[in-house]
Amino acid sequence: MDDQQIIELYWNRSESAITETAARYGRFCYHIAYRILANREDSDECVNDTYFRVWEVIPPTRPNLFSAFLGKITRNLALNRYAFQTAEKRGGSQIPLALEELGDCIPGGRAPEQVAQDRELAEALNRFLRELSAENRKIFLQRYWNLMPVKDIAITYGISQSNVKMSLMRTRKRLRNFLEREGIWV
Amino acid sequence: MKEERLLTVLGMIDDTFVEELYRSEEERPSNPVSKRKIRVYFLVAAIILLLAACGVKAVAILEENWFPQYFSEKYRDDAEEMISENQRELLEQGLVPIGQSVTCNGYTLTLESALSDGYRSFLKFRLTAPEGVDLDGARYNLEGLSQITHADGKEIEFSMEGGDEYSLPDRKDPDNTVAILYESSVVPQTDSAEKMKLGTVWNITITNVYEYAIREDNAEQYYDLRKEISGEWSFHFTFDENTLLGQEQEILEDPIYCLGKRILWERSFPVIVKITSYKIRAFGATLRFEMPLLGVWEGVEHGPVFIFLKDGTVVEGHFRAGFNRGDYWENNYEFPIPITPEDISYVQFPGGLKVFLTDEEK
Repeated sequence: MDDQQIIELYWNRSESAITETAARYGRFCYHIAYRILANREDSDECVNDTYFRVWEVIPPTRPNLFSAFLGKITRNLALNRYAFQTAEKRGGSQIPLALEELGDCIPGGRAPEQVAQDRELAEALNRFLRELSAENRKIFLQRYWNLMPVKDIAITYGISQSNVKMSLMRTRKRLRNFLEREGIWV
Repeated sequence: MKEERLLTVLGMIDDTFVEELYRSEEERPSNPVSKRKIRVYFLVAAIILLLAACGVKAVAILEENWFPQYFSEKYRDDAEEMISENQRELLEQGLVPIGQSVTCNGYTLTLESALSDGYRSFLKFRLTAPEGVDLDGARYNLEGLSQITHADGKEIEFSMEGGDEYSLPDRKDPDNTVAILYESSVVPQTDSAEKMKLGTVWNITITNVYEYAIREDNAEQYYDLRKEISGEWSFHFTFDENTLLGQEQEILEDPIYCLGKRILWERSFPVIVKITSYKIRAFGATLRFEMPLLGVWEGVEHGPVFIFLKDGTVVEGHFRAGFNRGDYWENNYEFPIPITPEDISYVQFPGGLKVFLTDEEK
């Protein structure tokens, strides 16, 4: 079953949409989650959360490229889970739980100014990424969007690890200069 | 944290970038053609051509006096002949004449020679600016990346502990050239990690050269960045069986016990430290000791180890890196001058215990 057929299943509210997604992209999503969480159970749960999130947003969304769409959702969910776990380690087990419970009674998500700042930073990142060559952009995003190890990036693009490291080092430096030039402080 | 925020906001970038990433993955052939093999053939051909064209021997003659001079000046400012004949021979034996030049943006960087004992390496570069541009900085720093691989293609994982650059102004050189020494420690990160050995191929790419000037302010000296020279200068060379100074000499036949200190915050308490091994190489040493039972916030220090040479010189190793190897602790030290076992009279461990290297000295 191809991507368009799977998306149609979601639009038709057919529960086999999730089964088909899992069959075609389960392993793919798991890899993304595992790179962030480094834990089998957490990664499995994150992948399941991804399916439910996709179920919530299709329809009305109709993704252009289904794999990218799934990857983005998985990544964001895994990062949220990672942030929660990190906070848990920092503050003792009850604090994040209490915070999560209290979160139920706070409307919205992040503060509006935080959202605006994040959006501004994301726009700046978009402008920066457009300036990069396609090769450097892909290497940068494989590392920091997809969180792929340097070794795997080298294999993926058939280049040496030192070339990957070199490309990343230059792009990070360019990004720093770019953000300073734009007056954006992270 | 700033890094976490950047990582999170990267998740908000345009879908087109993410789609580009995955589309290219979908279109990618399942078995990409390995460029590594092509690179290896290219490397071999380049080395052969280089050997034929440049005449490595000539480079060796020019280079053989540079390192003795460097170590002499670094260790003793005003002496004429600071290192022994054995030390000079050691440096000549380990010298890898290279003589590879790359020109980028008008600046030529030449990797002239290299030295290594497997843990600590010295790469000597020469920077030549375009005609009319003087290189009269007080210091030059190199920035770049290294990849070290064995002859079988296996990459060595190592920690570049530091990477000190030391520029020696060559007095008789033209104004537009300067010699720059790039010094680094290649310390295996784990006990089972690969070490540098014979046939090790080193690829290094320099991307930036920074020129600093000295500024004096209230009798204090500061280095101010004056110029940044960007480019890409790539080099590769091999340590063969004649050049890598990989020999180590174990000084201790049996473990010794020394007085050390348990450190807790700003307080210290005496403790007995069991030193099980002290190995000397050309440019440094590795000391192993058993970690005593400690509290959570405690650390242990043992005193310095001194090497007494036959000519009366006393050498103290400079601490570079320490590793907890599980059953024991390992500290790596660097010597300011090269050392050969023939030159050593005795080694003095913390607390004054002396270990002589030759029977007649005892």
